[in-house]
Amino acid sequence: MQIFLPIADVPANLLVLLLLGGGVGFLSGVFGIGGGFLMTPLLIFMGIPAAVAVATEANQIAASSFSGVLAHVKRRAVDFKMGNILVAGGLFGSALGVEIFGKIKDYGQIELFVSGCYIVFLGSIGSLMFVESLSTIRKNKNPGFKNRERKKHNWIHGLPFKIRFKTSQLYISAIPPLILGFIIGILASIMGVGGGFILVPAMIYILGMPTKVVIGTSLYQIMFITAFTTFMHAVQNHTVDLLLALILIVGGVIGAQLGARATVKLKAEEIRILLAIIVLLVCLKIALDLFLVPSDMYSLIYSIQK
Amino acid sequence: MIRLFCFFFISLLSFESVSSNIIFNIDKKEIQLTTRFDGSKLLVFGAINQNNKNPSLLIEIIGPKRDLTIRKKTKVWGIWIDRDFASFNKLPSFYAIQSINLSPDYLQKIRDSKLEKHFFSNLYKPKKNTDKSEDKKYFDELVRLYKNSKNMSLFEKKINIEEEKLFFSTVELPEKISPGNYSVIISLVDNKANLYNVSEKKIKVSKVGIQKFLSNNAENYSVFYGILSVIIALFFGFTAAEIFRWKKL
Repeated sequence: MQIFLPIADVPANLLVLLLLGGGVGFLSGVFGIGGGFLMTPLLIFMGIPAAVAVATEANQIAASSFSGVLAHVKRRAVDFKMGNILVAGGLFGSALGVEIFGKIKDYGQIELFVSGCYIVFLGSIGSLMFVESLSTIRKNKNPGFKNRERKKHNWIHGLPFKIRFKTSQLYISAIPPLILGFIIGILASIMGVGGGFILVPAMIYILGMPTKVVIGTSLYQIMFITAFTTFMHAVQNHTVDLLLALILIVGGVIGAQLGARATVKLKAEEIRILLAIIVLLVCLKIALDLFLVPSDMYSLIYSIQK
Repeated sequence: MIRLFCFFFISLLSFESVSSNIIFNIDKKEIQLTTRFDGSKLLVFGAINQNNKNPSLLIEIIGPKRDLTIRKKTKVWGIWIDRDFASFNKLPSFYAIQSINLSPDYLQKIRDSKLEKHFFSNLYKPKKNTDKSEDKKYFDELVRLYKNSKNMSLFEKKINIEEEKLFFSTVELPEKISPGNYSVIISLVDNKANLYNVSEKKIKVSKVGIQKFLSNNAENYSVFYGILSVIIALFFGFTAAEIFRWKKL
């Protein structure tokens, strides 16, 4: 069934969008990821303008992360103090990101900019995941192989403005979480991602937070940042397509629940490799679109009527 | 069936303007763009009051005007980017022209003058000294892209004429059309390819329902729209969490 998306200003197939939302939702249920870094490029492949894809996907992530954060709050797995500091940094990052985004959009190069960011991030994250899961599989085969120990004390502990985080049992400076939040805010606003794939490892390895509060706290920050980013994009760039967001939210919620149930049946390392391959394929497709001779050298862009 | 329909409507038309040699009407006065809109077909029909046995007739449909940029991809450091462009001020978002009883020479002449008038004269050059051949290239590509998206049709369809007086034709509007006023212009063509007895009617194309609500608010009440987007997202997130928590219990 064909429907017309009012802000994206393109027709799209409702069933395809629902399946897309469901499929990415399923993967996010299986892997515990937000799925924004897959959804935004897929929307662009479908012909939705990059500016709309990014802003609308931020809106969808706000919904899915809120649903996730509620579950974690009940389990007392959210460090609110840490979350709030991350949010504070993130708000500035998001505001700056939306500003940059609008400038580049006016300049007419937003597609190129978003593609470039995706190639860099998907390429590096995908390769890292691929290598890591390969080595884990190898490690499982050789029980003698030892993992590197996590350092308890590093340069982070030498910084000023120390704050005590009771839930995380940490006494560290507020500067690293502020900077981390800031970076995630920029990513959310220019790439339409939650940023969990950077936030989670950074919280564990750089901030040294206990694993049990990491997911809940990152969802807490992602929820605020994507909600704020959605708002900023709506006000500054008029690029949030609520109809598209609604379809993706519905598909995504159902898919995520199915995915979460399917996880038990699959082996963790094998699905990690699978995810790495998907990420690298999406990256390759974006890169090919930039490097291969385009099928049409010319394109028409309507300016918004003043 | 269409013929019957035409006769019926023509009989309803008021002959108040007897001095005019053409009367015509369109089967739609307005088109509503809903979420399910997937194109529309207009039926234009009327009668000619003249003695010429083979009257030459033109039907033009001109969509609302919008500013537009055509961009050209160029290879820079191995990647293809949109670098060069040409901008046009106030181009019709849709343009169709149909005819009957016109020689190929006349069609070419009319085609060139219409494209010049509605499209090419609106070129707005950001840089002053672009050469003419470059402009021509952009015009040709513009026409090609318009045709590809079914927003332009140049004499691809003939008007039907019955008994030398009654005429009808259909015009296809694609699924992606701009809201605004569409002009339907009918004129007779004399033997020097001049147009006379030009008469015009308008069709209003507007977004309705969710389409109207969302685009209107996104554009004019963006703060409200932004807050609404966030509230809806949070509401769905909350509902989803509650439903699945309840299912697990």
